[in-house]
Amino acid sequence: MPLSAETERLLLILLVVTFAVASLASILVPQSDKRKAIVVPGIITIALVLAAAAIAVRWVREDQGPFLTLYDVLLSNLFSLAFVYLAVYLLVREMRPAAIVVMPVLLLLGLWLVRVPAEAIPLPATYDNYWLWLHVISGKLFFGLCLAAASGATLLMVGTVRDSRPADAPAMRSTDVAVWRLMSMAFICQSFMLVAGAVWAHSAWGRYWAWDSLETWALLTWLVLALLLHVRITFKQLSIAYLWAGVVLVFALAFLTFLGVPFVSIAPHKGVM
Amino acid sequence: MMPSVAKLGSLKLTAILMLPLILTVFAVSRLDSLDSNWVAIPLALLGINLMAAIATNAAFRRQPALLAFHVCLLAVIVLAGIGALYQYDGHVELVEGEAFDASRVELTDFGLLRQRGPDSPQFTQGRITVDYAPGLIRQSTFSDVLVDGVAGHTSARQFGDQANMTIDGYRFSTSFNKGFAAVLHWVGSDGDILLGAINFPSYPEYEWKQINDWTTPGGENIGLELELAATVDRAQAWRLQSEGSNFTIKITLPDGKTARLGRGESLSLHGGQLTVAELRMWMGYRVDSNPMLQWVFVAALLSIAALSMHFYEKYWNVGRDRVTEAGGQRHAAIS
Repeated sequence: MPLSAETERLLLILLVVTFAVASLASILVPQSDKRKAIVVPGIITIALVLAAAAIAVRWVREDQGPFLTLYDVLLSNLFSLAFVYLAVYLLVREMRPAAIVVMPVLLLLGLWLVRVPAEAIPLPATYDNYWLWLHVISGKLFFGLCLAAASGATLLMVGTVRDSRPADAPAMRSTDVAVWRLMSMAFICQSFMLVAGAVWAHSAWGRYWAWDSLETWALLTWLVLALLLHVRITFKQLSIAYLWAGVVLVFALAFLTFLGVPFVSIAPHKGVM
Repeated sequence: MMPSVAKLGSLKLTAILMLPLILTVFAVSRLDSLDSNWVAIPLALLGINLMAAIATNAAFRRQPALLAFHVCLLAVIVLAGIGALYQYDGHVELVEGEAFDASRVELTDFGLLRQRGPDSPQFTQGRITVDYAPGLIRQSTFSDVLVDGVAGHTSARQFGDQANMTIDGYRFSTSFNKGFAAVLHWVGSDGDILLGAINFPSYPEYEWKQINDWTTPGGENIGLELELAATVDRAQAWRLQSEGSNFTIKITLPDGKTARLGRGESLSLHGGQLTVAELRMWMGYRVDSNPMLQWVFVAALLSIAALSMHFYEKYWNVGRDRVTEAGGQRHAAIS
């Protein structure tokens, strides 16, 4: 009974409620109030525990990890995105205001998850491979870092639009640096994701690259991120707002790759009869 | 000379050349008619740009990790290109009991500089089994083979989803493409004897149309349809194998008349007698060889290590003044 689908559903609803509370807290609790500094990370930690519990219940019941269906991917991403952002929140002070963007995104993903069919599909035998783990973990780190960076970039863009002469330029500068640090780490993680995915595909299907939709969109995201990093170094006269928009674009491409393409393309990443 | 090389290696040109690469990758993914080899053109241009940049850009000499990353990236492009020139890629279907014959491989890629394919025969196909979970979800695939060794010795091996078989640099991978084959025995009126197999379409994917046709040595084109006594119960776990399969082969003659033959049963046809000997499995293999693949992998891993080192040096191992160099100038402009 404790491992039933009903328990998982209950955990999921609690998770969504927690993200809703986190969204409100990120807006209402001032970042400067040190006495309340624990509120947002505390709520994210609760969300992490709930997401981990939902994954564990499902994992034990279905005897397989959350790799295959849209439900699986959304659930595991809710955990990994919250986990990466919590780490960023704790380690990078400049990214704390970004919670105001990150938490509503996680809330929307949670609301999406509630509406997605929860039926599990048995994993194809080709998924039983440790390269898959490396591929998935590096991919989730990339996605999480991208979300944090894109949220920071969004705040910077909003701040620039709202005030043509930002009063807090040093703070914006340090946030900008934090955004690019995160994007650099995301680039490393995504590079490893592509390599590990190629090794896995070679082992699983006898080819390391086949231009399937998911592979192609992952490569496109990598190329756009590489282009963005080059443009930032090269075209110094370019308005920084365009670069922040580029960060958001990379996240949008990553979002499409992770949560769009796999579920509209055909079998290669799902296993076939 | 150097100024023109420097222009060729300019970072602005890099950024500009990345656009056609992105567009080509996008086009290849969207247009089935567009060959993926088109990606080689912008990649080659970027490779030239990168070589010129390595030769002329002082930033690479100041930042060895960045240089290492780009050299490794160049190595990935070059090695992948060389690998493509020596690539061997194809598909072959093997019936249980059949020896691998390289001449039957349907090639999908044969590199321009490649001299030859695999030798044959190198192994003989043994038992094939595929397990299914309820819901017709494919689980483990097992393929037993007898591999030829030195001095006529053979060794038994088993491979499948997670373990491929490599012989002399050629990798054999099982695939989702597999099914039943009718082993037919033909005795001609002239005394000629033939033993062969007719592969039916992939099973259970095409369970509903297990048909094929064959022109006998007597010149008659006959239709063959596999009729299995038991259909797949999708709700149950199940094993696909030839053993224990009760079946008949429905033969359709050119005049439309039909006959059903079970195991060991015969039918007289124009020019001889056809006997259904037994039902076996066939497996579709992917056969590939790329001598550069492991080196591409090594170069890719080294490039990631160098990139990590570069970003560490750039963002964490120096004071923040240097870190904000690129962004700081822009902030000065907006504030």
